[in-house]
Amino acid sequence: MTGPLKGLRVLDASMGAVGPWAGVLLGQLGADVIKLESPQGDFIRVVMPAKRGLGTTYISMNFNKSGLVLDLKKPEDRAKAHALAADADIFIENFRPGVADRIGVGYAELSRLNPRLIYASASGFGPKGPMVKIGATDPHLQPFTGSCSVNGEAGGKMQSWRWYGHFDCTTAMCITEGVLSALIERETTGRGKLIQVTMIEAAMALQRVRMSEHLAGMTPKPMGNAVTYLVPDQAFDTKDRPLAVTASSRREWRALCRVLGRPELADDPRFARNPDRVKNREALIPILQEIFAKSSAGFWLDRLQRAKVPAALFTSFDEFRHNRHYLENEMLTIFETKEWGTLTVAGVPWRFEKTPGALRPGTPPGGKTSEILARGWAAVGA
Amino acid sequence: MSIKDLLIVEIAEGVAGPCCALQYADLGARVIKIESPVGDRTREWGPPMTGDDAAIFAHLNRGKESVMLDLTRDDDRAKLDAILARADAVVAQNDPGEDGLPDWRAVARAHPQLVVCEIDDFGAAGPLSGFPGSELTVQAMSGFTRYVGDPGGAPCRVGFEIAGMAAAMNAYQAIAAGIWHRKRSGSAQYVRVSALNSLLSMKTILLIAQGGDVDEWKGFHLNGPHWPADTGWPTRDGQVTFDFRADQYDDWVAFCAKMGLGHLKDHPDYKDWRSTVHTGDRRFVYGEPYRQVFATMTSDEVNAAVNDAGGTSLKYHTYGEVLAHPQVQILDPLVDVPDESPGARQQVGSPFRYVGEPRTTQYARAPRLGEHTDAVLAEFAAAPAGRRRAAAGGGA
Repeated sequence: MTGPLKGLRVLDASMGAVGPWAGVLLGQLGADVIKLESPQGDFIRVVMPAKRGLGTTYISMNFNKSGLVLDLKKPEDRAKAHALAADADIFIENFRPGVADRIGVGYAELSRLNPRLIYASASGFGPKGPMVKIGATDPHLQPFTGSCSVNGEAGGKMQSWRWYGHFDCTTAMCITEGVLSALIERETTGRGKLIQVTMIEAAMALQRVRMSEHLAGMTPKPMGNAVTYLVPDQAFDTKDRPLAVTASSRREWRALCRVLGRPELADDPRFARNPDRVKNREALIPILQEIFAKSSAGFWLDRLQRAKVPAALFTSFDEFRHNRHYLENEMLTIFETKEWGTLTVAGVPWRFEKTPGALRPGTPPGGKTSEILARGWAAVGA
Repeated sequence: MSIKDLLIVEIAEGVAGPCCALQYADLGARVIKIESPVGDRTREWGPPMTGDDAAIFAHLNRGKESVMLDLTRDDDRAKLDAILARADAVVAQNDPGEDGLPDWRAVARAHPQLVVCEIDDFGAAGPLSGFPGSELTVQAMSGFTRYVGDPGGAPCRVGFEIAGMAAAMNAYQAIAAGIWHRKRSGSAQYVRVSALNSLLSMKTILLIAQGGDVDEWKGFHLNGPHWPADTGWPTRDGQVTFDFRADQYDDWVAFCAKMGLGHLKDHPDYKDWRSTVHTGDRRFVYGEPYRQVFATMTSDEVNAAVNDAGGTSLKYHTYGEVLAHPQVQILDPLVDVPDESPGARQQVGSPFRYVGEPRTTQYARAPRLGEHTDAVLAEFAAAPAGRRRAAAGGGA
C-alpha cells in the first residue's frame, strides 16, 4: 500500500503532538519517517492514559514511524543525526526557540549539510515577542486565540473544549501543507526551505470563517448548537431526541419545507433567502420546531436524508464505533499489536486511487535504533 | 514546476473546497472557480454582508476567477472540459442533490494530467454515501458536540468550522501530494476526501484512548464529556487559564502563600496538587479556594500574579482582543485585500510561511458571480487543437 510520497525521508525530532502528527500524516502518505528522541524521551510518553505503560497520545502521534534515540549533546551522536539529515528530505522540530541551534540541528547547520532539506519549525507563539517563553499547549491556545468566545450557550461564558488536542493537530495539518508545497517548489529550485508554523496562526486559519464575520464588523457570538450566519442550522427537539438539521442552500431550504409539509414557507418573503431567514430567525424557528416535535428523530432523519437535506443524530464513539457506515468507509481502523494490545484509530483521510498509503503502528520509543545506526535509512519503512 | 505555475479548478461550494483552493491562490496559483447560475451558497451565508455577497464568501474566495456554467447543459460541460484539459488539479465538492454532476472518476480517467480531488461529507461507501451533510451534522456524527456545552443539556456545537477546515486541509494535502507524485510517476490520479473521515482522523489522538483497554482512566481529560462546561477560571472581569507545570511544586507553594492560600500545601486533598489546577476533573471540586481568590481580582491581576510566580495564566480573549495582542501583532496573521467593501479588506492569511522569503501581500478581491466567464472561456476556447477529448459530464 505505497503512498504518493514513497521514497521521501522524514527525520522527525519533534515532541508532543504538534510536530509528531505532521510526521504521521507524511508517513500515511508513504514517506519513511524516523522519530528521533533524546534519551530522556518525548514528554508525551508519560501523559495519561497509557496502554501497557506507554501514553496513548505518544502511540497515536507516532504511527508509521521508526524510533531512534540519540543524545544530541554528544558529538558522536550528533554526527549520526547529521548523517541521517544529509540524506533526508524533510526535518521537523518544535524545540523551544534557540534549542535546535544549540544542539546542532538548527536550520543553518542542517541546510548547510543538505541544501535540499525542507525544515519545518513549529511553536506556539513564534520565535520572538513577549509570549515566547510561555510553554503553549492546546488548552492555553484555545482561550488565547479567541476560539472559546464562539463556544457555548447564547449569553453564557466562553467555553473551552473538555477534550483537547485539536489545535495541536490543526497546527500539524498546516505544517504538512507547508512541507508539501515546499516539495513542489523544490522540483524547480532544487533547494529546501525553512517553514515556520505557529499554533496561533494555525488557530486563526481554523477560525477563518468566524474571523471573517468579526472583520466585517459583526463579532460572532456563541449560540449553542445554532450559528449566526446560517438559518436553519441547529438542533431541533423531536418526540424522542434532538436532531441536527441544516439547510445551507436554496435547494436544501426548499426540500426541507417540502419534507415538513410546509412548501409555502420556501417562498415566504421573510424566509426565502438565507439572509432573510437570519434576520427573521425568531419568527421561523418556532414554526419549524413545532413541526419537528410531532414525530421522532428517526422519522425525520429518514425523510430528510431521502430529500437530500443534511440531518444527523448527535452521537458518540460508543455508538459510532460499531456503525456500518463508518466501518464500510474504513473510517475506523483497528490494529492488534503485541506491545499495546488493540488500537482503534481513524482511517487514512485521503483515498488515492493509485497510491492509497496506509496507517500502521510505529515502533516503541527508540525501537529501531540499532538497525538505523547500522543501515541508515535503508532500515526504515515497510 | 512551482505553485505559481499551477492551474487549479474549483467546482465547490461552502467551506471545504473553497478553502482548499484559497490556500493555493494565496501561494500564487491560478484558481478558476466554476459556479452554477445560482452561485456558491456562501454568497448568501450572512449577514454580515460585504456588498452583495456575504463576508464569508469574500474571505474564502479572494484571488479567484469566477466562471458561471450550467453543467446540466452539454455545451457548458464541453467548456468545462476544455478548462480541465489544461488544469493541474480540480477541487470538486458537489451538492449531491443537484442534477448534471460529473462523474469525477471518469474525469480523472479522461484527463491523465489532472489530479482530481473529490470532497464529500460522509464518504464514498456505506449507507450515507451520496447524502449531503453540513458542518453541524458532521460534528454531531463524529462526537465533537459532546466536548462543549453542558452534559445533559441541549447539544452544543464547536463554534468554528472544524469539519469544513479538516476536509479543506486534507484536500490541500491530497492535491499537493498528487501533484508531487505526478511529477515522479508521470501520472495523476483521483483522490477522495470526506469531511467525516477528516474530522475523525484529527481525533485519532482521542480515539485511541476511547478504544479502551487502557492501564488507568484518570488523567488526560478522559472524563471530559461528563464534566460541566469548561469556562476556565472566572475573574472579576472575565475568564483566565491557570497552570503550574508538574515540576513547579515550589512555585505553586510560593504562589499559594502569596494569595493567602498557604494552608493548601499541608491539606491532604492537595497532596496531588497539580490535579487541582489547570485542566482535569479534580479541579472542578478542589479548585474552589483559587476560584474564591480570583473572583476578587481582574484578569490582568490574575495573569500577573500567576505569571510572576512562574506559572502560566492567559486571558480568554475575544476576537478583538486576540487580534490586538502584541504577540499576534508581531506574527501579523492578516492580509490586505483591495475590496470595495471595508468589511473584506482585512482577511486571515496563510497559516504557514517560508522564512526569508517575502510574503504575498497583493490579493485580488473575491469575484462577482461569473465575473470572468467571458475572458476565461475565450482563453480556453483558443486551446491548442489535438488535446485529449473527454466527457467532463458523465452524468449520474
